[in-house]
Amino acid sequence: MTKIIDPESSQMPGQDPKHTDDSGEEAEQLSDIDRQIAENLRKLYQSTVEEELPPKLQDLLDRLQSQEPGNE
Amino acid sequence: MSDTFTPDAATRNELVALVPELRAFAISLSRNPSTADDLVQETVLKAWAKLDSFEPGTNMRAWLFTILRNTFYSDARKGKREVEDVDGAYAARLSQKPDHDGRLALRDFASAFAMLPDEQREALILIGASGLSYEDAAQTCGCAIGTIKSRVNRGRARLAELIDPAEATPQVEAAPQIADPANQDRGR
Repeated sequence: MTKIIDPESSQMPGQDPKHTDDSGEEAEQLSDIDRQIAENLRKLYQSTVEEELPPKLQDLLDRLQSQEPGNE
Repeated sequence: MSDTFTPDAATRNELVALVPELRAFAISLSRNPSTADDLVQETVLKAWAKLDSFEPGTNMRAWLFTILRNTFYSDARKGKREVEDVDGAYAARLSQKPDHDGRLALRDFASAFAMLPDEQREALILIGASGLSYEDAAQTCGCAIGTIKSRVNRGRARLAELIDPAEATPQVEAAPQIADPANQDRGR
């Protein structure tokens, strides 16, 4: 069945409706592939968020936290 | 112990807590983990130096993403950073465990995602993963809300084509394009 996705209805599947100014009603009409895209986007992002920071970034944060802002 | 909860300390702690998300956005934008870490480092240093100008109560995530994005495009204009091994380096970070339900493997998705234009990748990540509102995402990208919506939809449609051409093509039809003066995304 052909389905037209309205380019102005941009709510991502699963996105919190409060984060969009659309009605959200069209979210129920999204296809399985749209849901997979939304799910994988979140997984992709979350997998990086949950990674341990590389030592050079962790060292930088440790150094900054030991001093006042603006004095680095 | 009240010193721990002074606004300055709270603001600093908020910035530090957002660094993993900043890194996730940087990797999706640069498609190169090494470049992304340099980008995050530069962004954190800039943000830390300007922390006094951050208005408590406003969206620090959006503020940091804006600094990172501006740094990324500024460096790109100067030719300071090159994108290398676009889909290889990006997707190779992910383990190749197949999903139990046979759904698209995350690594394949990352490869497809890396093929999207910068503007579509950042719009999809900001709206679809980081949870920014359309308003904040538009502010972060320096464009109209309608432009962000358009980029999200085009990115989503392109991903569907890349992931499953047989299924996606008949499901996503291009709607008639109406000239939108706010849409600065032509040609993408």
